[in-house]
Amino acid sequence: MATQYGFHVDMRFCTGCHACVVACKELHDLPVGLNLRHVFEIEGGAYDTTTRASAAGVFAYYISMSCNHCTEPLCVKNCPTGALFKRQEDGVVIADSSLCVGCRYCTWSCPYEAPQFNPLTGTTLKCDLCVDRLMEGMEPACVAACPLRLIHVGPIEELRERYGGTAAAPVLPDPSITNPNIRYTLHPDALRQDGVRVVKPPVPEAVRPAHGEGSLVLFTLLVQAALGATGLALILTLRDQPGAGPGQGLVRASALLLSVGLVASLWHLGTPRRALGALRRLRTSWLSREVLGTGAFAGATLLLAGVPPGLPIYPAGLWIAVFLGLAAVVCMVRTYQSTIRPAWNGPRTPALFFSACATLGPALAALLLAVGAFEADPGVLPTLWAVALAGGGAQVGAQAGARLLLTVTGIGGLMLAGCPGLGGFTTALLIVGAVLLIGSEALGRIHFFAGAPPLRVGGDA
Amino acid sequence: MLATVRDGKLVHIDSDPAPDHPNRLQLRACLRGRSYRQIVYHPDRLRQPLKRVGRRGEGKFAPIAWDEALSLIAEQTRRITERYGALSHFVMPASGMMGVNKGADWARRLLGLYCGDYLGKYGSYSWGQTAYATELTYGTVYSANHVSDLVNSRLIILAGHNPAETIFGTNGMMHYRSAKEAGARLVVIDPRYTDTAATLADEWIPILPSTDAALFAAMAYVILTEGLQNQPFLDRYCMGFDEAHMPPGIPGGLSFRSYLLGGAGEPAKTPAWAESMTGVPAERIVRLAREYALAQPAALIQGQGLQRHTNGEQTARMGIALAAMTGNVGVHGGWASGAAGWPETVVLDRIPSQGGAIQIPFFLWTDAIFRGAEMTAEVDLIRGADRLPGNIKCLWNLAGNVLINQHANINRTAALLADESLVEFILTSDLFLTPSARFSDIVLPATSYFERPDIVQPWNQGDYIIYMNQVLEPLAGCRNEYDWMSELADRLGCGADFTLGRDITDWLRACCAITARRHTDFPGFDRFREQGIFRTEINGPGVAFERQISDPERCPFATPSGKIEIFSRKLFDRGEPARVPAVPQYVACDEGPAPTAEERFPLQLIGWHSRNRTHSTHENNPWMNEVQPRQLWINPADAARRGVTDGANVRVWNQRGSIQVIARVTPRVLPGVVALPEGGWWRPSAGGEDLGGAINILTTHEPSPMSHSNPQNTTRVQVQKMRV
Repeated sequence: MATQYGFHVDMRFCTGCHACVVACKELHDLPVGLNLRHVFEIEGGAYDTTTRASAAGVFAYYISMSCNHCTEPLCVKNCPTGALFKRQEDGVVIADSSLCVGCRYCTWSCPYEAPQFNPLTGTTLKCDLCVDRLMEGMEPACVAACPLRLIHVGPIEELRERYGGTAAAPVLPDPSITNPNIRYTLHPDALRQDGVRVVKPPVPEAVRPAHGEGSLVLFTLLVQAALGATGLALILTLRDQPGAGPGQGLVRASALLLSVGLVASLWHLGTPRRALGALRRLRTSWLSREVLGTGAFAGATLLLAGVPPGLPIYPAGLWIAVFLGLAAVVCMVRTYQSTIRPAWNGPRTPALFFSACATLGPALAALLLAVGAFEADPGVLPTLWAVALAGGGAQVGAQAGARLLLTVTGIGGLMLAGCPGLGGFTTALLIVGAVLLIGSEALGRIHFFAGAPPLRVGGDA
Repeated sequence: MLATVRDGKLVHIDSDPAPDHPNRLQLRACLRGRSYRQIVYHPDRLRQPLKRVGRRGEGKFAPIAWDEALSLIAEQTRRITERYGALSHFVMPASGMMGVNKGADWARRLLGLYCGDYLGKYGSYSWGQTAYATELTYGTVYSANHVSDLVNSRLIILAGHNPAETIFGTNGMMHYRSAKEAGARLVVIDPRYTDTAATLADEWIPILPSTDAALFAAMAYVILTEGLQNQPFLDRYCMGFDEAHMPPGIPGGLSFRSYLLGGAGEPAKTPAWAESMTGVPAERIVRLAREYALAQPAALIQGQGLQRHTNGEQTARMGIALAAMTGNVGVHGGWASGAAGWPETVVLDRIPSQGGAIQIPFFLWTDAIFRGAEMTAEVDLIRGADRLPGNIKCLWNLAGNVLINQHANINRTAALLADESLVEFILTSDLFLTPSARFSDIVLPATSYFERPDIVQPWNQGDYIIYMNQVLEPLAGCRNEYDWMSELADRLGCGADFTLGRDITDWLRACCAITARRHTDFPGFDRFREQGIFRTEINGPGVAFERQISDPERCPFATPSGKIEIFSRKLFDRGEPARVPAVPQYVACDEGPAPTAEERFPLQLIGWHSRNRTHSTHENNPWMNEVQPRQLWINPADAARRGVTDGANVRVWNQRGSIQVIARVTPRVLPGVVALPEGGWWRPSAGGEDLGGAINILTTHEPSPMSHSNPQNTTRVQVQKMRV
């Protein structure tokens, strides 16, 4: 790279006036709730009413921040379309909205809230350092607007030499994550941590995201259920071979679930018509790989659904489908682990996803049994129990909490259904057990998406 | 500002393209100016004249044609003038349009020509008390040094001054930054940890509202008792500091020194005495007093919020006494304190009018609605006549929201205006149906800054004037005031006199005649218009009273005694020593700090100028509401006692009214104090409770004793969590 550009901001005198934010907003004509630069207000300390002497204990300061045009930008690495890229000549990270599918994965990947999804256009945009203005000899809008001349732009090495500064402070995300090209001259109170908090003003009405992550709850659960079901089909086929395997119903159900899941995933995109563009960054983006893996898994099950189980290629086909399904879920795990949401980064994500495969597969099988979609076989139920129990065990690793009760009761239901002489209750128990297992996973997944605050200025609160 | 217009539409706003130079700083637009497109194209813009059809204030209007509107206005103007006389017309104080081409000025011109006169006013909501008090003490309101002179100060005390949020001059904060970088120590005295405190303060001294004069008095006491005062300065330039320098014929014991030292039943104004009222620890008062006296030169800068209290005149005069005691008057790096006005740097004429010589104190216009005929020079400080001939009957409200929103005690004003037998006709011209417009009989759709040419002067100490070229046609249905008033003048038979055959540009050209005469570097009107700006050269930072100090014999202060009147004979002669003492004193306010936490209204409420608005302008600007939502600041201790959490909906109320607003729980405001930005639009619910955060629901209309000005920061309230 020739020269890396970046910003320097002198935090000492920032009054939090927001002229930088509004100048940027004005230039880009952004709707309420959407800004490419943010001013964070940080306050802390306390006034001691008994001594009145520690009034100096109260502090406040502001941090103006847009994109830090990181040296290792996670948003670029994770973008599945190539819409986000880092320019060779100046290191500026650019968003090409004509390629963007609006998956919002970049907004999960940036510790600085730089990429912003615009629900009106269905694409993401971000600070481009006003490269067009720079080429015309003008300063970026924020730089030119600051009434105290506190924002500076230029080659980051020059800024470092001229102003010094740092990218590290207690309220800032660890700079080692993305190596941001930002230098802050810190406010004298920026190292204080007593009672420190980032002030979050009430969000204006217009800002609420156009749609939440409901479609991803559905998508991830359906893919994982399909893997569980296909895996179960493989186990049953291996056990029963060579005869007409009961797995065919499971494979057909999986094909259906995957088709629904893929449609649901489109619903998550801001610009679904460009969905295939999400395959463009297989080299770097786990999301691209997830899309490919899921697509291949869906393709394999669809093909297999039409193959009579008696054909010799059937077991081989099942092996391939299960392998592709495993690959898809591994990519899915890596997709979430690659964001800057601490709750997703650890081993909890694979535990959650694979336990869901193991409980949803048997749940699906139980439902199929209940509606008579495959022949009851005394050997089937114990296999379901074993797989579901393995899933329940993995849930302990996924810190499932109270919903473990649901899982345990659900597995218990499936087990009870195996008792002889229940008559009509067998069907009811199968259905109840399956519904409890599905409900448990749904709750877990909703919490997975809702309870994962991103790492950002002021921590992950 | 630089406006980019494409196909007749304003598409981009930028500001001063001239290079930034240390001696000529670029004039950068603030966030509000940058967001102005949201105002120009706001969906709520008025697009046709409205005529009231319901009860006044009810908010029911019917659209009418311009022709009908002007007929009605002409008819009412004629009728009211004939029946009640010229002085029954009052043009409302308004700051929605601050240029030369200003509706209020056109209205005054029209009234002067048609009726020969109108009721005038003096003073303003901005600085009524300190302007009065400073003029009384120094003989002028122009007591500021140029702000660029602050680099010469060793200590700067900002008392209730918040240039970071108020934006006191386009580059005001740049000069504070320079002063700080030059080594000045900065102390901020404020009940709030303001953005100014956050960025500039070496030390924040929180203080209970309405007690600043007590703090200043104790500082003066420390300086006096420790012998740190500049006695030669006091002896030479001041009247009434001590008993040896009193006007003839005044009884003994009335000097400022006597007040400070107390005796004869009066307490000495010791730091311990002040601590009990201000909440500032005595040892800190001692330290601050010493610092101020010893850090020569030092600037004690009073904000205008500091004087918007029931005892604001005393605070203003007490600050001046401190500046005089420390000899910080008339010197570089010092600051004479008080109003800190600055004469306009670039001279410009206004639209001429005749009349308005009989004046009320601006804040008493609501009184003049129902007791104008009783108002006198002696009691009500009427100027130009001993008494008023009658009540106000017609209100001209041009680009203003004082009519209901910005005047104190909204519910009282609303009741007065709703009585159609009092004010018989109210006319408003504005961009929006503001709370004030809702109380009008006719509302006219006005033009924004971009839809008419104008010349604007800078706020506070700017070295320039700006020509605002018209870049947009008025939005369909909207007309600027000069346009429709010319037609109205025709109907009233004074059209030719009103316009003199000129269009607006001709008038602006005429207003620049004096500029060309006074400023040799003025490039001429046409060039000025083309450039859009005229900046003049200033020779170094000006210092107030430099001549009075260096040459007191030939340049006395413009007071009756020629001295800095710490003792004012004029105040002495008013014969109200308890409320209007002749030397600055701390006068406790009825709605000052609550004596006990068990009071019905235990919390003090103050307002401030928040960054998202200019008074009540931009209140409906979505971009500005995004920057700063409506919130009441409350300390965690006060919030916890009431079960109020951050973001909770709370009720704020007192004997005058009630507001529902979101709470922001923050250590940035002193315990015992809550703060709500001024300018929220009154939005009464069906039950009469305000939902718009209009602070004046809670403020008092009782005028300050000395100048009869607005005391909105002396207010007590209770706060309660709303049940959801």
